[in-house]
Amino acid sequence: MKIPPLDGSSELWTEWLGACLAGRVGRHDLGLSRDEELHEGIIRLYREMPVEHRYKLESAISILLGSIPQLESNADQFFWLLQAIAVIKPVQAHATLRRLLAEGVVGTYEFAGRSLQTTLLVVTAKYPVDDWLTDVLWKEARDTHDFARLIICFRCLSYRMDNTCFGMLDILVRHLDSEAAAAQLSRQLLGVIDRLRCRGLREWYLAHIDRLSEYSTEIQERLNKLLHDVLRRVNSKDDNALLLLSELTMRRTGSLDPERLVEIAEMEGRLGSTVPETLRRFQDWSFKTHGTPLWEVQRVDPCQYKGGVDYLIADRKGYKAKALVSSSQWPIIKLLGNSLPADTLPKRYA
Amino acid sequence: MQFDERAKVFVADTLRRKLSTAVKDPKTFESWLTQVFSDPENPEAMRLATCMAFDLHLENMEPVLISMMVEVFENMSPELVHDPNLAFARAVENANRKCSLMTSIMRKHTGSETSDSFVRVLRLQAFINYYAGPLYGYTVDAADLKEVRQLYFSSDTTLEDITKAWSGRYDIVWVCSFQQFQDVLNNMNDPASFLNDALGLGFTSDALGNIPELVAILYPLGHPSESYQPRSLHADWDSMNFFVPYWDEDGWGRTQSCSGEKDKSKMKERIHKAYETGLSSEYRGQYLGPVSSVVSDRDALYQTTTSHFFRVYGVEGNDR
Repeated sequence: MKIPPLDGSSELWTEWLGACLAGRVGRHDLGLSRDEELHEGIIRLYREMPVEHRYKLESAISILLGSIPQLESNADQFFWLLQAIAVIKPVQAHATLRRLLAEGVVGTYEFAGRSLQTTLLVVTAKYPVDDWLTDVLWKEARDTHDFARLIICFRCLSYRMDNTCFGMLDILVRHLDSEAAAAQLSRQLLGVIDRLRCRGLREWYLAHIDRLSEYSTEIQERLNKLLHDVLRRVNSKDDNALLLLSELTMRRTGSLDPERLVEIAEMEGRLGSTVPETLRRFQDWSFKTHGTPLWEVQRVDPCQYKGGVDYLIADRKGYKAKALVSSSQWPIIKLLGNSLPADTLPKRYA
Repeated sequence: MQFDERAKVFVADTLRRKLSTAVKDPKTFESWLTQVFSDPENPEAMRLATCMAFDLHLENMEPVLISMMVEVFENMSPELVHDPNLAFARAVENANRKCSLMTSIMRKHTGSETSDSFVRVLRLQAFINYYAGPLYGYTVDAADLKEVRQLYFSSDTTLEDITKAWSGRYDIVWVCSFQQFQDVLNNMNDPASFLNDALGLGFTSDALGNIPELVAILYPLGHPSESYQPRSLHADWDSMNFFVPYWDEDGWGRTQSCSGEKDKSKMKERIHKAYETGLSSEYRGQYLGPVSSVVSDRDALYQTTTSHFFRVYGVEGNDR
């Protein structure tokens, strides 16, 4: 069956597309090369049509999506249509996609190594991710035992372009029961962070620090490692990524040298925290973890050290003490040198 | 281009002799054969028939190949016979659902070179269709293409997360020789374009109208344990492939280059069964780059096909 002429009616285009999906149109008629799949031929045809005629193919796709019998033997036809819709995004197809998701029949089929339920989720998420789809994604995530589907829900939720998707990490982390799962979450997290940046991830992590201990040691280690791997690969200009990386490093190694601590405090300063808050938090953590702080933050007596120094950070051996200088607006931290005169150090280190 | 008239006679004779008595529905087989030879405007059908006749003529051919070809004709829809290649391709798909095409492999040609490993060269979109899609649901839209390129091919990466894969309608994966692949990378200024031509891929633009980009999956040595020399049944006859049957005992196939240039038509290819469990950290992804346009010479392809057939048939071709 040959491709209809451009001035062919919408009905003719629908009939032709139906034949195409049913395998009665040669792939060579669609100009498909080796390794190219049917949806690519449909997309190419759409792209090459004059804009004023494209509605015929959009209409044909939408009509067929809603009218192909929901039989397992038609799984391939649904699959090709959904793949084409992901690119062409006909407006008329949106309501049918939601209906198919809600009905949950087509979703039980599989084709091309994929569950059509996840394909439906992904393709529906190519349209704006509204509250209805958000609810569907959360329900899927809570109900599924399939880690790959859970990850897909996470990615689809990230298309809302806010930070709500990071909340789904609670569920994802529970399923980190293999190295493969960790590798998959790591890969997808990178993609999500590339879109949303790291603030949401860091906020999620800080909010869940205490609850992480509820997971097994293996899961905690996997999470730490995968976050490390991900954060090392993200754009180094993302302050939240650096901060979270520092936080993780500290938790992993149990120490953070004063120089690194100054960097963190400086970054947090740029992000709105005050230096004392940041330093105090790290000091408290260090105290809780080790029973004794690995370093100490001291408010400097102005008479003891000249030059606008407000704080000192000293490690236990003392010789790596740093000085911090604050500005009038918010604390700007500057390293003044690798070592300070002994008389500027707290007495216990001197 | 017209096929050599003698070739038409010999091919028809071979197919009838080997298959007509074996097929249960000789009527569909005959009408398919008639259609193949009746349309001078469709040399692709003649090429398909010639490749099949070549395989049927190989010495030491295993009976299982004939069985599989018979199975294909048993699954052929009479309504599609007006388009012989489409009818054949659909019949292969149907037959493959019942009995794996890989069972038609001639075991004699499974000689392996243990010092060489495999590489799969494919488009970025195909990587999505076969690997990143089945697992993560990626599509071929522009945003997903960008994300997959960034996640998998911005630097050399291992593919341990790909625990699920799809191998297309025939459950077959085509791979080439790592050693040759490496030679191409080391010696060619534009390896992606060279491979696009030499492997008979012939991509000129993708569905979105962009220049196709090639990527590679590098296999660990010794994986998979079984791989085979491809035969006509394994090529996709519903698309513009550049498959030519090959007889060498080295166990590799040789797909013709798109341009037909002989020095490019030496890339060795093998096939293996679809993976059921995906890849592992031993598999690596590599970005090859966008391809420049390639001029396809179908006439050269028809000529090579005929010449290979004459060689196994035992007659001199006009071009030799």
